[in-house]
Amino acid sequence: MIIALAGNQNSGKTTLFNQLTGSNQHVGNFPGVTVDVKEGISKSDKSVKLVDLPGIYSLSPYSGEEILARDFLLKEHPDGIINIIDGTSLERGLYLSMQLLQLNIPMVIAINMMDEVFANGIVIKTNILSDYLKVPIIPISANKNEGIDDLMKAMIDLIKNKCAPPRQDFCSGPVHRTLHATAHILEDHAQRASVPASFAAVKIIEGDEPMLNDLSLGKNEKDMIEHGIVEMENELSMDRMAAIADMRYQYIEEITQKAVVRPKTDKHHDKTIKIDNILTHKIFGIPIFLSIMFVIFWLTFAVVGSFLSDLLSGGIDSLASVVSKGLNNFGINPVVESLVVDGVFAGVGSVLSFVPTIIVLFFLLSLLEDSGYMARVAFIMDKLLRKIGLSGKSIVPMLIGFGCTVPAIMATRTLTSDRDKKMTVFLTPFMSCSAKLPIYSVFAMAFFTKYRAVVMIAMYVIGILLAIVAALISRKFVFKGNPIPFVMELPNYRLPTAKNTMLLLWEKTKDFITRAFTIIFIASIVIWFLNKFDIRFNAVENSKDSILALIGSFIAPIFIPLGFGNWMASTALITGFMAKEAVVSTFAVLLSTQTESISSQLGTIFDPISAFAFLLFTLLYTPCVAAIAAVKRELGTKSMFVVVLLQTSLAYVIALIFYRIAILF
Amino acid sequence: MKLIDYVIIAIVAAIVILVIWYLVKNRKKGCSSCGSCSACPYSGQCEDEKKDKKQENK
Repeated sequence: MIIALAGNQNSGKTTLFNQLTGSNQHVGNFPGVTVDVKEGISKSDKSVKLVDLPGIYSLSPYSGEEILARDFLLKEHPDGIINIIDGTSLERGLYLSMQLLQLNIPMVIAINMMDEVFANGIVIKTNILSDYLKVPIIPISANKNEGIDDLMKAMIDLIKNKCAPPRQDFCSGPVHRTLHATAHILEDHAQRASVPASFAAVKIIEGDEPMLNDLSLGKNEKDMIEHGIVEMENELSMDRMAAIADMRYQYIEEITQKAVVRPKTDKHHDKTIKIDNILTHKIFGIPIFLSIMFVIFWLTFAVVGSFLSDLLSGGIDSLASVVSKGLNNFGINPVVESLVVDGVFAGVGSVLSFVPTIIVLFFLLSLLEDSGYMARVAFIMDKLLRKIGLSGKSIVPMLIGFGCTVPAIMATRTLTSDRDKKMTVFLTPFMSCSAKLPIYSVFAMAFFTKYRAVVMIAMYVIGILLAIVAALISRKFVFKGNPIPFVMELPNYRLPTAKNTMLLLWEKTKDFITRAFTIIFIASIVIWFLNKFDIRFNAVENSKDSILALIGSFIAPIFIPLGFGNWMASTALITGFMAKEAVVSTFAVLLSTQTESISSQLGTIFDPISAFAFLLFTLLYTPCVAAIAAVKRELGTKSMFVVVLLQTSLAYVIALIFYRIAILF
Repeated sequence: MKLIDYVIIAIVAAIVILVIWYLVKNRKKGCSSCGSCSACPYSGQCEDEKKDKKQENK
């Protein structure tokens, strides 16, 4: 039994999906969190498969999400549909419901966010709605797990009894006449294409190209239908699209007038508008956003996050000392002891100590996302992005890029224009992913202790500024043309929920820890081995004689003009290609030092100027191997090489310019 | 080298093999090294690729 969850963006489909399946899919107060089809098995009935569809406003094939949802509903033929509507904006939700009702699939309408409906003083008479739409209407609050059992029971009963919504007319007059005439003409074709004739008729009148192709109508039939539509347009003095939309809205107005009682003022929405007047202000919107980000970074890198990270690294060092002493007491071979202490503890521990910083950063960012502010960021940045040739929609992949470049690059699939997609993929690696955070932190601590937070924020800002410069240049020479317009619904502000925040935090933390114990662990062991033995596999006293020093010394001369022509620095850059956190773990292994003292040891390889040049290089040089694979998947091999070469060349040039100018002073 | 040294080396080697096996298994699943799928709003796309690959193999 397959049940599809369909509804508008940000109506709470994924929250309901998580409640029904026990999954922990990402939920956010941000339209378009789900951009693909997600499947899960119902907790209460293992024979029920639930499919979470992306948020859509209609079944017209305009955006990728709409095509995906529509294809699923029309071609996969689910046994039932749960149509989720945000109770605070019922009218908009019903616009989609009217189209879903024509699919001839058993359907239940779940009116979600009933807690907010009550809080706003809105009354929804579900029995009247049900009488009009002829499907069960179940009020729920997915967030609070209320009404979910009733919803599933109603859905399963309908499926078992094969109760599809009866065919109904939503209008009268010219539109009604044209719809019936069109449905009559194309009925045979619709049957062959396994599409309900009434649904096909509406889509054909709307000029839906994929539907026209699916039905394979003859020339005579097309002419007859066109003649009827033109007559309807003349009679109503409006075009076909407007006529269909008008028909739906008239019907919705009729229902809601009888079924919904609203207070004179919507307190929640009024509050949202008041806050928006400040946060999305024409002039102050961007400075406010930058100030909020500054406070977040300051709290993370200078106050809470750094304090907790220092505490944890102290703990890891103490544990390493205890293990080291224990191994010594057992008379363990010094090389084996070095493997455990300098390889495993130093390598993995150096990255692990940044878990608190990551937790604090993503905790604060999740508060912004869950409150609805991130949607406003996309809105206020749209104007700026358009000036540099990007669509406001590109902000979504770019924001994801601050977490990880891989899903950010995959997120560009939602961009409908090929030009916008390529440009966004090209610019996303400029955003500092969370894996670069340990590098910035260690170097800022070592060389810019007083200005630690400023340097860390500067790295993020420099990445964004260089992305803007790169966008302006590429717009002139490579990505000519204009970005597509960006339309997005701004959700009401909400208090972030503890569950969503904790879920996001857990996922980010789990991800970071998993990487530390997998990729970083392997990289640390390999680096330790190459650093501990020479080419005859004899243990070396001085790491200058090691295999790694030999490899590093081949590459090191390239970086002499940048001020860090040391074999250790070049080795760290190579391992950073596997995963950016590996830069820090490599230094920890190479310097055979404890987590807390990496910063002080780095002073033996770098001075403050070369350290900043190194930071600039790591900020900009080639993304990690997983991100490169994502670029290859999205744009092909040629573009992948272009991205790697361009990023690395740019990193080299910027670090070179900085170093050469800085040493003059 | 004593027996305990060999035991420690064997434990580290076993962990390395397990980690590599885990990474290869995830790679085959369609997950890249970006980590946990449930946190990713685009994980379904990896699943699609996995299905496509299975179909191609068939």
